[in-house]
Amino acid sequence: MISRIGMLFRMVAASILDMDDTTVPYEQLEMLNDFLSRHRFDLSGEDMNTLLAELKKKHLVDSITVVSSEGELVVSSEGNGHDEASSANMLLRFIDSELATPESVLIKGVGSWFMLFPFNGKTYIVRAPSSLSNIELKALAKEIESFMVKTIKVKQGS
Amino acid sequence: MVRIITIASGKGGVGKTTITANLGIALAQMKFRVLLVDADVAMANLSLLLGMQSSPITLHDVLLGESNVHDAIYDGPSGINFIPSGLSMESYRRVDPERLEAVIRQVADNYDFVLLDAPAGIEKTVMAALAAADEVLLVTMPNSPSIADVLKTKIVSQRIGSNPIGIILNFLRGEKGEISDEDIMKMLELPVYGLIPYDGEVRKSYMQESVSPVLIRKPHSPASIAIKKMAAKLSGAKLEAGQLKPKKQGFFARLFSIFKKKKKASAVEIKNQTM
Repeated sequence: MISRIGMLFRMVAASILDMDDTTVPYEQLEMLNDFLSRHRFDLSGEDMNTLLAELKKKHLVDSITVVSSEGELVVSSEGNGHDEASSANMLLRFIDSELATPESVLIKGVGSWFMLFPFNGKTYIVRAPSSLSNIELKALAKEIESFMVKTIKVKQGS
Repeated sequence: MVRIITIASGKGGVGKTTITANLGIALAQMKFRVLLVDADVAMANLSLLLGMQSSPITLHDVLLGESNVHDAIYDGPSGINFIPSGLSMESYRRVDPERLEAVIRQVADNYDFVLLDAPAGIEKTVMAALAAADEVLLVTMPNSPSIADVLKTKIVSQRIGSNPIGIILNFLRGEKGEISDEDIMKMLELPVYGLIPYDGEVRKSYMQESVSPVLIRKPHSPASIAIKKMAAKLSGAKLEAGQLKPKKQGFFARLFSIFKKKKKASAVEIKNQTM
């Protein structure tokens, strides 16, 4: 009983004397808002190069190259990726025939990672400062694939 | 049509596991077919909360390809089904979390809701839990460190193509320094699905001889009611008015509970004296 009265007094004192000195940290909220604003990406455009530039920022990678199963370059964020394209395809074929069918091949180079990822009949070559999981690589590939399907539909419509 | 939802937060200790268990139970009590999955393959806290830590076949065995997913499904409280995760460190080191999505899809069609309890952090196991779901519910406390982590989780889930649908605000105490739900909604650009007050009954539900989720132990406590409201919002089901009111204790019940507390306190005292 006495402890309850004491608690009541403390509560009344706290509210009258404003002993609770907590306050909403608006400065931190502004910082978080700023952080979030840097992670908004426009993937609705119709230009492949713009899309690749946005995807590089979104997935935190340095370059993206897509190669057909025949070894032809489909698209590259660096503009020129013919050598990389043929080497990647040959490497994947070699691993497939000699070792195991790869879901992805990760190469830790000096200063960056090279990731080869077969998806939907194409090979994706991604270079990044750190390795991406298969889930992330697949998500990246899906975004490029859906863009390609969308642009083909637009072209067929026009 | 099944809804596969991952409950994630980034930060640990914000109540993901408690919310997953109780939300699943609330949905099951509304007659939905619910499967809970302990997708925290490293820690397996949901398994502990549901008292299923010693299940013979676990998600580890399924992800290792050593067991069929149907054999890892157990009956839980209020008619939920549950896939526990294992406690073994050896099998954790061997599992491939990326198989989770394929495993879930094998059984999802038998349910109305599949809820996955994601681990904390933004590592590979978290991504696997996020990628396995169609929708993501983000749990946060109303303070900036917790919100910062949930922001990162939102960005990661968008990056891997999952769809964050809303926020659950947990441990609300109504203190001056708490960030308001409006501010959090504005920042995260997501609606609030649940406002769950701080409730001592949730803590107590872990402190029993047999651990039991708060919705089973104290279905009329403030947190239980908030979780039921959240389940109704998520499913579109209607709650009866009686389910939303805290149960009032009569005079004798309150008097009895005081004596019960005193009795327990004296028992602890005797135990301490004998030690």
